Amino acid sequence: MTDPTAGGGGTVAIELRDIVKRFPGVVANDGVNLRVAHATIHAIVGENGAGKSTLMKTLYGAHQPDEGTITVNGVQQTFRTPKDAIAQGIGMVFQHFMLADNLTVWENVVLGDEPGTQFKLNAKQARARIRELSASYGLDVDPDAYISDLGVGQRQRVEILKVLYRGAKILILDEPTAVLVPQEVDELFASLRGLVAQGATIIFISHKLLEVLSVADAITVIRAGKTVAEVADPSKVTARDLAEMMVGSELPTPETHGNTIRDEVMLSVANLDVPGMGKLALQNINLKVHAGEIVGIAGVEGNGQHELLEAIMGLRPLARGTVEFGGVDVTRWSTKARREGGLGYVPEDRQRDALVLTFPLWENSALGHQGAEPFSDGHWMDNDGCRAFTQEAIDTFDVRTPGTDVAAVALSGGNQQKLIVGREMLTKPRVLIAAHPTRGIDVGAQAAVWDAMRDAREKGLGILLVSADLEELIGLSDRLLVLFHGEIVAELDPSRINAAELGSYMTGARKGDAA
Amino acid sequence: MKNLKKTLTPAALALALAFAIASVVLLVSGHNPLTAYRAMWKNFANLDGVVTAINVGARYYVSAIAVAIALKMNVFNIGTNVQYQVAAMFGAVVGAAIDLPAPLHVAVTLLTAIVAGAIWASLIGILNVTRNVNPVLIGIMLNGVGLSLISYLMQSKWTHFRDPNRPEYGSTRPIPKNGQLPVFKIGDAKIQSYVLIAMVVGVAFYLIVYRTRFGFDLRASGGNASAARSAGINPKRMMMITMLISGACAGLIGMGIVLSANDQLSYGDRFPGMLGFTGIGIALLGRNHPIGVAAAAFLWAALDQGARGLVTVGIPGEIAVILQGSLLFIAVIVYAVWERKTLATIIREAAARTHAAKLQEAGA
Amino acid sequence: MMNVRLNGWQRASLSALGVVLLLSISARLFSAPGLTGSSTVSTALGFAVPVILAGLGGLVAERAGVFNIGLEGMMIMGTWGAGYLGWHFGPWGALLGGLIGGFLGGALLALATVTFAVDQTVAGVAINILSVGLVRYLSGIFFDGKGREGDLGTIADSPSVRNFGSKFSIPFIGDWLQTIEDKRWFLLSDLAGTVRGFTIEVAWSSVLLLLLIPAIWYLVWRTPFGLRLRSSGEKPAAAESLGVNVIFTRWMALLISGSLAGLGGAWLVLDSLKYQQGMTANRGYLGLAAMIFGNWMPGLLSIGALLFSFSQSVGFQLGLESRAVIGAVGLSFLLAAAWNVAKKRFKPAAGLGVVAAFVLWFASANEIINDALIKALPYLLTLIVLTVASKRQRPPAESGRPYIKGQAG
Repeated sequence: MTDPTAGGGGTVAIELRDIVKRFPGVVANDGVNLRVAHATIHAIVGENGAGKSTLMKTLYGAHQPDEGTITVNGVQQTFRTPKDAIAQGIGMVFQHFMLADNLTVWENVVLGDEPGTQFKLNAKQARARIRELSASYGLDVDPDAYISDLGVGQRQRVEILKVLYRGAKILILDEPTAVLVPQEVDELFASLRGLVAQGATIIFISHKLLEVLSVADAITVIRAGKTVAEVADPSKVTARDLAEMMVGSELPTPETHGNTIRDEVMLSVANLDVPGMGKLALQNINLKVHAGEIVGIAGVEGNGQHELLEAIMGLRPLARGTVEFGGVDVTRWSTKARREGGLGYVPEDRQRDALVLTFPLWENSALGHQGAEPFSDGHWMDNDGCRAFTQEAIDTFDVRTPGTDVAAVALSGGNQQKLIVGREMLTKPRVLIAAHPTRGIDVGAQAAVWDAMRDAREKGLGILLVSADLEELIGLSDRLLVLFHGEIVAELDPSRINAAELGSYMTGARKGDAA
Repeated sequence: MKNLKKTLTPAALALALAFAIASVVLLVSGHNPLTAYRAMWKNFANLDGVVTAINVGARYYVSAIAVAIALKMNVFNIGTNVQYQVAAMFGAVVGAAIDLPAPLHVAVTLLTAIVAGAIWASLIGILNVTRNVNPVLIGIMLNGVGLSLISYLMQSKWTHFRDPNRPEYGSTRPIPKNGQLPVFKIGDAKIQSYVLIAMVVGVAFYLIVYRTRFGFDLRASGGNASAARSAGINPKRMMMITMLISGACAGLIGMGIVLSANDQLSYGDRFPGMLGFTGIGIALLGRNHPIGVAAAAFLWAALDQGARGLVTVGIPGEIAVILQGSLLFIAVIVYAVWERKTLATIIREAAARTHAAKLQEAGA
Repeated sequence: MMNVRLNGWQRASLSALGVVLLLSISARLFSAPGLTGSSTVSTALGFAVPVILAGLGGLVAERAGVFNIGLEGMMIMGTWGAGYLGWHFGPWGALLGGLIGGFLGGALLALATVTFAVDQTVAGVAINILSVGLVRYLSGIFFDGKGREGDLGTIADSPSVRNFGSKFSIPFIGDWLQTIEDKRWFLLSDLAGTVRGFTIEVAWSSVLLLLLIPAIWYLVWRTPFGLRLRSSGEKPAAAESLGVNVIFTRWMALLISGSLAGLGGAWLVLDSLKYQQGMTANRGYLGLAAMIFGNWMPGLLSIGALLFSFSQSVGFQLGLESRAVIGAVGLSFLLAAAWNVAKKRFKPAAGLGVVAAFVLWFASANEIINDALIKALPYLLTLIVLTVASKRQRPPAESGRPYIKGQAG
């Protein structure tokens, strides 16, 4: 082979040297180095905010680095726009799919690089090309399907097809497994292996360390904008090693001690059916949360967690069943009545459901509690009371902010989350419904949130915890319920189960109760 | 002080640009802008001119507040333009038909208009809440229906709607003495006590929107409807209440004209028909803030007043409309750009401070 | 409902057939044969042209992600441009003038909403307010007192504008359809009348502008530009990540959108043979309503526009026809009630039944309908249609949201 890029694993496909990228007030990348060998899967791991995405955007031409060089297949390059990167055979598969739901697969794939003339889109040619790509890389999708009809795994295939259609030989995948069920993850990894076998190079960004270890040929660890470790042989490190390299210190562990469960049932859901698109989203759900108990809900995203939370909060109509709160039937209560009755809520999507981004922090901390002390007397707002409460939340949960009068939009995601958790915990709920309470926040804050939940549990708070972080679920919960296809398929004792076993319940591979 | 500067700078910028555009238009059509502006200023800057601007500005103000309250929850009540006419018609009919002691008479008349405006506006709320139709489109269609309803009633055989003594006007019967709003004399100028009503509306708007729990719910719904719902705010209920308040406020827009002793004292063919749309422009210009809107309403009315002086120098008075229109158009652009810039600054400053704190911590 | 998935054109044709059926029943019930007569239909077709064009303008803009409430203002600017150039250069000048006027209006909206990312409703309303003052000022300068003796312009009117001389008819079939129409056969005669209204003696301006329906369809659904346009309205970040210039695409869409609305204004000028202040009479807004009714598809949109215009055109006929239209509205409520009964939803059925009874009673009790109420008919009908249609509609996903460059990835 004369083409150096087509050779074996020896040549270097991508080399980033001393990349520095500053944003006003922040240095996101501070001298990052990365060498990716040709036809390998190279993983980049790091905490949220470590600078992974910034680095990849640099490589994809979405912005330009302030310092440092990019070398592709031995030639130094300057990317002004993604188009320049595409021209060098670099393609990016985004974490949040960049697909238009109301267009077909082929329309999404060819967009921006359409076959045919200016005056006529050649649909036939587009379909043929996509079928050809699908077949040769084992990415099975119907070109005429509408994206809205596709599942998550198929959508991801469309994303990869988009990149391949443009002739990319170097693929960047940003958190590609975040939304996939384990079976789909396996399929994805098989596809990636196939791509590599045909000469493609893959950069794989993730924080799921077990997956990284199973698929990557080499790993680069990034912390606080700097490269901190290169792992040439992943078989020689454990997930724990990687995690500590990422964090730079011992990891906090989510663990609860002792049994604080009381007899009093705080939240009880009985025979619950919730309508969904076409079929039931939840079927025959029965669950109880006692005072002083944390009940964890495990499940792959999209198996009914969202609907369960909304049903309990009164945000979604029920087809059947009852919701009781402290022994009182609240099935017909409004969301407002439920919240005023002491139901705390940390929604899964904080920017969509928990904050008004244009409001200052002190108004945001009243949101959901605006009818009660210290925020108002029911009719008139108490602005000083709101501010004092906000300051307390800021101090208790270490919210990094210039003050209480700053608009919520100015805070980083982690600090927004801390404010929300603070708001919900400090208003002394009787039951807390918490979805992904530590998603996207840094390690220190994570420990603070866990502490707060443990303390509240000891004082008798009942918590219903939904999380995608299996360690968090297992560590914090007194009891685990597994949701699969809208049904509770197992009730598990977290002290007797590990993440892998829990995973097999979540995919429906195992059913039934394990004591 | 810093806040005031932040608020005034974009407004001043928009005003300057609008005058620049109007000047170009005037120059292109062969007029001297300075002559025009001098004539406008002369017609405005005297006791009578200012008082007229205040009287007219008061209507504009109430009209803008009616729009602003709905805009606080991101709903465009484009229906105010007919809500106020329906309300004024029914108010005028009731005000002419009853005979009560003065303050009560006026109160009943005003209440009639408020209720009529609220009912007509509530149709927007009902159709939006039950059938999820775009409120702007409902408002426009109801405007068409409302004008037809008015002309149907005004042509009908009921003499309450068509005063047989003044068929040439095509108006309702005149409001009797004890049902009129008093007018105060300042020199030769007459200021309408309706201005006080406008002030009360402004204060009420401020208290409701910024001080009450309802106002909090309203602004939260406008800021993020989904988060508001999670916070226990019922979006349908908010929509209904907001339309009722907005419509009630719209009901007052025309009542200064119907009730003031120095004005029309009836509803009829000569009744102004665009106050609602003007109010929309003023609400946007004043950024839905009670004081900003007051300034915008006065400015708008002052330009109206000034434009009447243009005849003396042979320049079409419509240049004022161009001035108002381009002011509005430029203002919405300048505000949007300004807001984004301010937001970016806030985010940048907060990020920098957080970062500095982190570094300090790492150092310690 | 049905499992059969129909495409836009099939749905449009079926709805059209349904409407004719309903009208022919009502025409019998209220003995108003003129209801589906060719003259009513051809008037309706004429009235529909500007509404269709505004609707298409709304469609192009919203498919690209901009809710264009400024269509009314763009149409107003179109009427003025058509009045000015039409007065000087005849019908082709009028079309060009309308196009330019609307184009400039579209450019204004694009400047505000696309370049400066202003709230789309706010900017659109601002344009509507601005345009009214603008045309009045321009009329004062260019029309007032100008023109020939006996044909002078004023601040509210232009001097007269010449229309295309002849009218368009499909040869041969006219007489043949006339025969069927005269037979008064149920449905068949009504259909013949309807078709005849569409094919005989149609103004050239209507024919030319109606060709834009398929043209816009082709542009939006069959060209690369159309794909980029739709993706800018569905997922602009995705489009940008693939190198599509969303800002440029939305600009183009608004220029087209404004031009279409302006051409609608030109039709009005050619129909009235001059520019008149306020001649758009909310047709821009009706176009938006037609677009929503048509689920952002050109075919159904045109049917919607025809429906509104039909109710308008009967206002020009005798009372019997307007009565029959109200009857048809009552019948459709009755039909909706029956549908709900069949679906075992008795509460809405009862409500609809009461409305149907009231409307039908009103139609049979009043032989001559008051003029003011007839004027309200298109608005009422639009409201009803929006009420019925809006829950099942699917607007483009990102419509109404300003796009700021650099959101991709």
